[in-house]
Amino acid sequence: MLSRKGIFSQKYSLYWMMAPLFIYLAAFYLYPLIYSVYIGFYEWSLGDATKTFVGFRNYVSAFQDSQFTGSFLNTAIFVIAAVGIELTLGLSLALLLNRESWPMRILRTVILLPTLITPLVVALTWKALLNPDIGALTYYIRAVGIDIGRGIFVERGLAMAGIVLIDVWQWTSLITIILLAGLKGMPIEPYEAAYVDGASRWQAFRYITLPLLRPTILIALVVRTLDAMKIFDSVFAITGGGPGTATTTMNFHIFKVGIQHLKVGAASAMSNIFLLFSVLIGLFIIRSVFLSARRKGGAV
Amino acid sequence: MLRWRQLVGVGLIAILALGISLVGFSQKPYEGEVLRLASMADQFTDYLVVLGRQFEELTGARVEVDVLGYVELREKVVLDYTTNTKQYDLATVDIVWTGEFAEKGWTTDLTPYINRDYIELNVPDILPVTWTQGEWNGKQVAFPMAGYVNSLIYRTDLLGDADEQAAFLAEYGYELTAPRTLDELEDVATFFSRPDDGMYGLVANGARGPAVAQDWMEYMRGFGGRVVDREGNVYVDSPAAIQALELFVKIFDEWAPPGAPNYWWDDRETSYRTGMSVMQSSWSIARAGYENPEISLVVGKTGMGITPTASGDNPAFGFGGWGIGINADIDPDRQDIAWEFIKWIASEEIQKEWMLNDGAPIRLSTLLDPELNEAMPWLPTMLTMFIHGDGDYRPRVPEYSQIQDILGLRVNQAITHELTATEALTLAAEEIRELYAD
Amino acid sequence: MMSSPLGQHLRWAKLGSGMMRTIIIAVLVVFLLFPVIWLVTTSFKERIDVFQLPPQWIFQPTMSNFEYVFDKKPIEMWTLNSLIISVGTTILSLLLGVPAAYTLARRKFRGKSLLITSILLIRALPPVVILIPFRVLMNSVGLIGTHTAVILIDTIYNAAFTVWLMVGYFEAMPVEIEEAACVDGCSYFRTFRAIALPLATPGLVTAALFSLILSWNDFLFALSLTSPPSATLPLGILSTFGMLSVGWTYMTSMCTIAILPLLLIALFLQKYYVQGLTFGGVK
Repeated sequence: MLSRKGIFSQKYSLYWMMAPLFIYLAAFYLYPLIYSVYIGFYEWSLGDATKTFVGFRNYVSAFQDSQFTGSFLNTAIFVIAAVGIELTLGLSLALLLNRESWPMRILRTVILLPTLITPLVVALTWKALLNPDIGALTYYIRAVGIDIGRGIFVERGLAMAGIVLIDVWQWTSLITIILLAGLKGMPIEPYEAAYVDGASRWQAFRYITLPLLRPTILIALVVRTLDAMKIFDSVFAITGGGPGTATTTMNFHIFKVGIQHLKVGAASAMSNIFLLFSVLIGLFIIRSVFLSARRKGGAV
Repeated sequence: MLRWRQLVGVGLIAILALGISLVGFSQKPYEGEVLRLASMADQFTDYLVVLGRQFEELTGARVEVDVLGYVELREKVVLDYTTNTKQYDLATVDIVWTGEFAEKGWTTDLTPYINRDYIELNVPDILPVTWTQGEWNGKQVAFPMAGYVNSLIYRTDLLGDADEQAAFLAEYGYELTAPRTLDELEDVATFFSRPDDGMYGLVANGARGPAVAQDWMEYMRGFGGRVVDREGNVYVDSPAAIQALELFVKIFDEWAPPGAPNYWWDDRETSYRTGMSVMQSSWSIARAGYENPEISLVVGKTGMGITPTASGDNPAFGFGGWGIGINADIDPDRQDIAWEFIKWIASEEIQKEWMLNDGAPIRLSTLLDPELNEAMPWLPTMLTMFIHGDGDYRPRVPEYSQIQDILGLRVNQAITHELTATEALTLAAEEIRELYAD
Repeated sequence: MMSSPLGQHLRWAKLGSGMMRTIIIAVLVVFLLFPVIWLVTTSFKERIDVFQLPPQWIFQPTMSNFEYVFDKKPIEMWTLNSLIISVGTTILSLLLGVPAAYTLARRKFRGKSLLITSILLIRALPPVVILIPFRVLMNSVGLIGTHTAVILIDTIYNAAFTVWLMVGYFEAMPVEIEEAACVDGCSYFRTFRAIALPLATPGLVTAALFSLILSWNDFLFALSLTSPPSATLPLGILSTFGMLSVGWTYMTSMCTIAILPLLLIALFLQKYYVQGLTFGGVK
């Protein structure tokens, strides 16, 4: 073999170990992406023979489309609420389950159940549970005396909360699992030292656990944020973006324009804006990971 | 007399058709061929799957039915047609897709086939209104397959109850019957709205999107309104349409179950079948289900009546349902086989068999069939509705999906009181005009 | 409501052991399991009983829904297709992602962090954007309607996740082990294959599990790229949804069937995946 000297040597390993991935991404990821940027400059409906070059008109129209700009805000509210609650709940659950005993081990798998169900089926299940008149959950919510008006997905002020609830249900355990792993990887020494010095549990958590867990939390945050921004299934299956425009999210609006109305040019322009926005937010969060990692000297 | 003679004629033609097809099929001419059919998941679908298999026994060509939900079906076939992937030879075509499919040339024009096989198909037996499933500017881009009519569905046990009738007479000064005018509809709906007993007078779809848009259009038709015409004139902000929306809003404010503004078709049907709602306007395809104790608590208690109109005169019935079309991209040879399948499932014999298995009619002979009438006593009413059916109350224009989307939002905003009826329809009209201006 | 959810947790942590902890876990677990229990119980109900109020939890179970779906739906074919697609995606994602991740973790070069960041950001791509061009591409190479088409698009998202996960994992592994094992100088590839990979088993298992979950559940891509003979379980589940009468009991029984294989896999792998996510973060 030529492996020591030739093209397969360590020197070139950088290239051939990574080449398959990058060739793959170039073919199947970059191509569609570039196509989307290209088609964003055209007025084109799926099935039309001709494309008309319109420059930035699709982009201008996107910003004039009040449903699109509104969906921007709706998505932001959704992401902040859903990811915020998921992180808080996920962290609590991770801390509670961070013990080695057989019930805990079983629980750690059982809580994964929500992630094992197709999101669209999850949405339909919750639609049935929260059916404003005959849903099982609605029944219990009313039975304990909580006022949900005509129903969660009927009231303009509650519908988005319902969508958030579903997302929290499905993805909290994913965060828990990620954070549990982070907790498992933590060194024991700082705690021993701290307890010797008479620190309380709360102090140990505040000054040791949280800082050490921070990079893991931020990574869970990036992944969930990027996924949550794409929220689609529950809106599609339950509210159709309503009541009014209360739950119209970006991905849902783009789906409607592109796949249902077939206006691919306009939809591509919108999704390019959306993608840029997602990337900026992702970069922002990743920058925080870098900064915190550097400050802590690259500690886990 | 006329009926008797018709039956004989129909019978003869059926035997003739069967004979021809038996001769034609005796060598299984299409041995080994596989056709793919994308079908809407509806009550008729389970038996369509069976028919697909039976066709193989007859002709050697297997028809594989891919059962899909409404949105999935549309997405799959449209992507198939526009990217020329030829995944499906056949597809069920919603009546409202007609204009779009014809203008884009996605499904092939069946007129030459129909003319060629006119006798064999017994074309005059096919009810005129059903041709709206696919007719567009002289082309027929889908063949009638499953005809639905919208009618007023109501509880006969409640409307026929002597105590209720006496109480109604005392309160409103006239006899309680199935409402014929929209004013009567209001009275009956108000009379039977007893939220404390979990009973609601009248229910409709309220969920944003196609659900609310389509149910509203049915009431708009009752007021004599229309959305657009084929020339692109917009009438959706006319006084009749606004009046219809005001009534529609009232349904949700006063008569429907509290959750109705989020109802889709299945929710509305469930609320009727579980006995929560007393009246609804619904598709005839759902009719057989009310008598199925597996899914219905109101077995034997359903009446099917004329949809009320503003004046009570000139009743017409919203017509809809599914045609079946042939992918225009596939080879002519395959198109021929696909046409043989269409012809076969549209035959009198198969239509009857299908009707016994949750099908929906397109033929006069099906609706007149004595055996079917025995099993389904509501067929005479349905025949009247088919004769007076209106397949254009939802505009079958190429822009339908966008129009429906606009209405789906604006009407929903009206019933949730984000906008008044006038505001909602003024906005909708503006947006639809903009659509045509592009 | 108390001041902040985090504050609540801290109060709980202080109360610590025993009752309180058990109660809180119980509440959260009930919240997470309630819909699953509804789903599974519904699959054993008669169709008419689905929406009985108050909800019925104890009842005479029926197998008729399962009989219906096994009788009327090609559920074995859908399950097989789902397995082919999710296993295929997983294998491809690992083959592409793991060597790249190892190199990204072990080698230093300019623009490395930018590269890792861009790979992670693939996850931000809205599916609708690439759907149409991807379909055209698949059609032009004759792959439309095959398992391969879905595997290829699912792998975009899964390979990105695998790289992200495995870079962290390899970075957390002390490089000294590899150096010690290869005093006499192994080739780069041999070190990777014979030493690093076995040590990284928990990480690989985790990446595989996540990849399996994602592609097992995929709906939009499978919808747009499969043909009936390659259709997956989620598509089958959704096909029980008629417009006027939803087959709730059929849908839930198919869903119950669809959960089982993954649940078994997750249970079987559970000792690995919690360990496996011990990564060092993106560097």
